[in-house]
Amino acid sequence: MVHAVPAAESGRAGAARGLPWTGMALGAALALLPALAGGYWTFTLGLCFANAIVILAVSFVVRYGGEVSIGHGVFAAVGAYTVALAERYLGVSLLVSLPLAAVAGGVLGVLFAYPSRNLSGIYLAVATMALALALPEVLLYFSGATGGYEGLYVKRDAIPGVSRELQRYYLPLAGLFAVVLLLRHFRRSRQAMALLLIRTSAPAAESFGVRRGWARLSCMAASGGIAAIGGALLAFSSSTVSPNSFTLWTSIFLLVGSVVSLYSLSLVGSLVGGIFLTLVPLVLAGAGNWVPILYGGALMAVVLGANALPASVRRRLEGGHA
Amino acid sequence: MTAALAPARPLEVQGLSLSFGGNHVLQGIDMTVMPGQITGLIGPNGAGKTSFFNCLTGLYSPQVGSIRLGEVRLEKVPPTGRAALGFSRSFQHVALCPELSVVENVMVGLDRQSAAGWLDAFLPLPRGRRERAANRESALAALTRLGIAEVADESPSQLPPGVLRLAEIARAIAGRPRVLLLDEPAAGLNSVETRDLSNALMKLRAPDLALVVVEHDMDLIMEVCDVIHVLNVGRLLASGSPAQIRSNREVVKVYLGDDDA
Repeated sequence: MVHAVPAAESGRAGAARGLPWTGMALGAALALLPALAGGYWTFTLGLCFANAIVILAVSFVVRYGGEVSIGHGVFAAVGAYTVALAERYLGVSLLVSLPLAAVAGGVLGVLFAYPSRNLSGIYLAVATMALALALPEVLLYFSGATGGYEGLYVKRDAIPGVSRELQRYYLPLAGLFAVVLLLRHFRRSRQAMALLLIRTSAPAAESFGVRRGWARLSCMAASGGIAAIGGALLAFSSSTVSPNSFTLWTSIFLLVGSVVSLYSLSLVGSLVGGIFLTLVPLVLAGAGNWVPILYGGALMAVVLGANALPASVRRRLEGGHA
Repeated sequence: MTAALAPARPLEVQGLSLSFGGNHVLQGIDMTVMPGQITGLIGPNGAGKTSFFNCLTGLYSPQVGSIRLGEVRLEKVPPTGRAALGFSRSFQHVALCPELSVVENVMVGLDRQSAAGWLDAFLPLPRGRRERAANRESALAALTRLGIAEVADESPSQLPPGVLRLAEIARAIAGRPRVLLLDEPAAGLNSVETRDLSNALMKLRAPDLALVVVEHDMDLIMEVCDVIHVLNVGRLLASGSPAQIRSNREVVKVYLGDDDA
């Protein structure tokens, strides 16, 4: 019998279990942060956590679908507007409208994936881009409901009796934790294994009964639902939604955030992406015309620096395999 | 009823022809593959062996002829539908996912028999956990049957070709198929690995399994097969037992060569 490479020398594959110590330590530190940081930072970090969730949705498509999306701002917008419209017309808070937002994002994912199920690569990326380009016009067309250029406000407290400032921080943080845990559990599921195999070898997966159409629809539905959760929390944290929040550039920057996070589905990786997306523009805000150059330089530094990291560190950042 | 519970049925191919444009890849193939036997399919490169496999699994659609599993006609059944009928296969080039461990790759072979839904996928619900544990046990049993259980949690990227071939066969048998198609399982293996493979294939012989092996390694084919079919430029040249094939002058002339006669 031919023997395998000894386990000590080999990379153990397979699904990671639970949150690692680094994730738990980071979570504890973030949970204590509002006691030390001011309102500006808790507000900004709340946005960062919500962005990190949407970045996870983009990374989900890359990891499980093997495709790139330049239109995930649309799914985030669906979540954000679901929360705002539910508050405006139904008078319900985020805790009620968040599941609705997730379902709406998932449904849009299916509606987009079905006609585009035979597209891949650059053609699918362009299709997602078209989605992002169309969104602001659609929102303005229905301005009677969506509030037009001004958009809508999200003012209702989710947890009565808790200060708005803390809600804006802790709810996105809890959402991020929940999504990361759900994704870690998902990795061990038969659906995740089937998606990973069909991404690697479609004929092999089909010969075991896994259909390509199912894979595309499932991937986009799950990703759309996650992005909508992020968008809903983004709307809650920023207290407002408007077409300007979800332009093509929003989708492009979400993809940038996913690249910076190394398409990670881990807490640390998604936070790196979220921080890059949320904080770097703020840090560079005073640089005037140099902003695009410095932003591009920072992006290159992060990506090239991450690629230079040892494989074991990268694997950890990426949250293990898939 | 699942494929695993269905009675053993022969796989019958009649008048099968396949062409791409004006290129006739397969012409008028008639063949019966019986359960309980190991059937070999040999022939020179370009004879149409893999194309024939792809017709059986539904990846290619033949223009003429019929394929039946018992009374079920398969021409219009897609690959996923044939998987549900109990078809399973390995590939000429190893098609394992490097991001899954070996045992997880094998567990995909049980996907069509699994019922856990999306809620089970995202949430730690009892049904999903039970099914996942049962699937892992079945996958480990398949790996054990082929003698490679010790690599269950390894990444395929860390393993030698012989073990990868066996892992792929383990995935193919995990779902207890009725028809198992192995496409050049000994390709790229050294002599020790090929001997391991030969032993593993003989262990797979079962009354309810029709096993077809495409292979160039004549020692392996002659050792494990009960019946051998020889293809040449898309036509069935000969059929018979290993001894009959070895002594067939046409087969010796076009494929085996004088030294093997």
